[in-house]
Amino acid sequence: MSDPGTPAPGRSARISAKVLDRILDNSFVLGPWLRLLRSARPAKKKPGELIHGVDDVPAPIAIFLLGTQHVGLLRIQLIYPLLVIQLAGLSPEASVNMLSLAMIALGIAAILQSLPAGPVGSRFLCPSCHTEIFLEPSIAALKLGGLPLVFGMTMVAGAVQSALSPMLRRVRPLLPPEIGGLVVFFVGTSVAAIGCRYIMGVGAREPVGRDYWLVGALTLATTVGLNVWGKGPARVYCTIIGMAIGYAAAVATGLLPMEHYRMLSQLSFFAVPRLDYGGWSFSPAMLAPFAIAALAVTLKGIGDVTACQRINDAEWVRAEMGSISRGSLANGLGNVLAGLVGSLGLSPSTANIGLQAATGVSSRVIGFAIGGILIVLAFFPSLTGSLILMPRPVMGAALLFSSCFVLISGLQTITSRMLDARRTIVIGLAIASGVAAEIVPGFAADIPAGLQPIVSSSIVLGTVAALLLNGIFRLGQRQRVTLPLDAAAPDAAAQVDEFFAGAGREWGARPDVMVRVSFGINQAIETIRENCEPEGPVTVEARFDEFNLDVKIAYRGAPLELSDERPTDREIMETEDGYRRLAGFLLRRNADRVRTSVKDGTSILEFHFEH
Amino acid sequence: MKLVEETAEGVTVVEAYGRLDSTTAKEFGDRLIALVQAGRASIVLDLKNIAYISSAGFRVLLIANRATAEKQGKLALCGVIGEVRRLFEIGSFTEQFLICQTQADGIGKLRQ
Repeated sequence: MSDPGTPAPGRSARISAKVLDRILDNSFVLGPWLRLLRSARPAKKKPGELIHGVDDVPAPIAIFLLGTQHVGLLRIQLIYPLLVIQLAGLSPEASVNMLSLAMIALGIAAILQSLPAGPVGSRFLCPSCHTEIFLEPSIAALKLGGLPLVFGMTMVAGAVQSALSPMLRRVRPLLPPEIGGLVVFFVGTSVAAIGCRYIMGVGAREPVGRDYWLVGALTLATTVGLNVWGKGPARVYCTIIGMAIGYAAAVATGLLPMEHYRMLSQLSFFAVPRLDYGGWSFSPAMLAPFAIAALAVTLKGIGDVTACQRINDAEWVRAEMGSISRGSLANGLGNVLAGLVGSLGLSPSTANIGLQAATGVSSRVIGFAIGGILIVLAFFPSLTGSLILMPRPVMGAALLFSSCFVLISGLQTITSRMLDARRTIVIGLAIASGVAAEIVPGFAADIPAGLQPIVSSSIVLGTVAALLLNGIFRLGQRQRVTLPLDAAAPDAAAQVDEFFAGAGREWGARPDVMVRVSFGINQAIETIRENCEPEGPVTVEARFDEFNLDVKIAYRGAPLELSDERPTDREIMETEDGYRRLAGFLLRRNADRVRTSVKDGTSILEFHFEH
Repeated sequence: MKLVEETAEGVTVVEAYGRLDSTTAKEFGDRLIALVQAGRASIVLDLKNIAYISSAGFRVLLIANRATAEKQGKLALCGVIGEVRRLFEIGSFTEQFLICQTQADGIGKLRQ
């Protein structure tokens, strides 16, 4: 990945990180734990833009600061339980207690996602947040059966998502990389849309004015300025510095009025969260909306974990379904827990994925810090209350900044494949659907409430549209293509190029692999023509699945010799044998596997390319 | 295949366009040898517009390289990028040739 503007690690940062790593590794207490954290190392190539990759352990102060930064972003989404709390008419004390419980659920969910081993967790820094996807079903459940029904059905949704998670491994063929990229792109647009709404004051309770926009603009300008022109820590912590300056500007301009501080002073400093909201209840009438919400969160999670994979692997080519499946299970269990402690449903936090791309720090260990900070904060109501005071334009600026990196990552993935008309239409229509969900007012007004979770989110609607269209367009798609070729024809090479370019677009293949294939087949045809005296046409047959591309060349004539050793320069220049052996050597080195055989007078040359 | 030739600072610069395979290699090699025999043994060959090079192409490049050396000249390659670069690497040809980034670099190296 080449995210423009992501900070590159400085020399001093690299040295201090190495020294710290050594100290921590030798620590009696932390050493074994850190080695376990690193044991999940997936042998991926860390992109140069990342300062700390998923397996790295930054300095403790950095872990704390970055954890706090992530908690600040997660806090924004507490607006959804807050909305339901307000509708339920709870007292301020009860409201803060519920938020504390919600933070405990968030904390445990963040830790589950970051677990370095075992069947649960994506193994990435992929904390969960509250989501608008569960808002409509939760409000409906609140009206039907009060908070106990909301919490009970949230547990059911969690159970549904957990049950779906093992099946995700089997949908791999339905999720080609360009659709993975599309989902990441939607994750980016979704974050950008939230950021724009917040920074512009759309949907704010009171009309916003110059000061509001000024605070947002100052936060954004500071963050962008530090990221582009800053050096060292200023660049790494550009988002948190920008947010701090924005917060100070909000206080200075009166965006945070004094009554908010008075409200804070009335809250207890320390209190153990109480589970006293009346238990759980269940209703078959609420099963469908919550199951659909669980499906929607699962689809969104595919994109979020894919984005994590993309951020952490410079050589990422396709979604790794094991990580996605475990991440979905972690989120499902997180939702069961959320319902159990009395909170709303969760989904992986897209904004936090954007934040790790923006800061260049994606260390899994920060997930544990996030969990710890959230759980500790849950016992300090006045601190929990202070989180609610984070000004919206400040959060909007942070989200808008984060979205840039996720958006570009998604676009790079989409364009990393060759696209024919079918695939272009799938991507184009899916983008149109997703964009419609974000920008067309009343787009989903007439859709039944039970389907609202699908049509109200650009990520979910766009993904559903892409999966459906892809499923339809897979009909009639050829995985095996054949080219009968006159090897002596003057345009034989052009025919081969055209044949593989067309097949590559139909398959959505990687262009770099198709270039290798074209070279190999052209070199083989050239060598057969000059050395093997072929009778009749040469048949080129190619078979493709997402992981393998196999090409078989069959002709009637002498078999080709494929040399393991490169002939010397003198042999190449002066002898026909040396020249011929060079061709065989190139063919062998170009493909991942080559095999020759003869059957009934027909020579067969088989090439295997890993895809 | 198309060849565009010019002389700069006493060095012959040849820009090659198209495919360098068994159907074009002979004509291409003959032209390079003719340049050497005409006393223009310092040659910068720009391959940035070459889309494909096969074993036949490598053979003529080796022959041309030897011919320039025999006349106390040198063959410098530039524009060895992308797929052509990969083929140079898998064929272990990167050490055999003087490979430069640009035509100007090549000219500079040959004038040293």
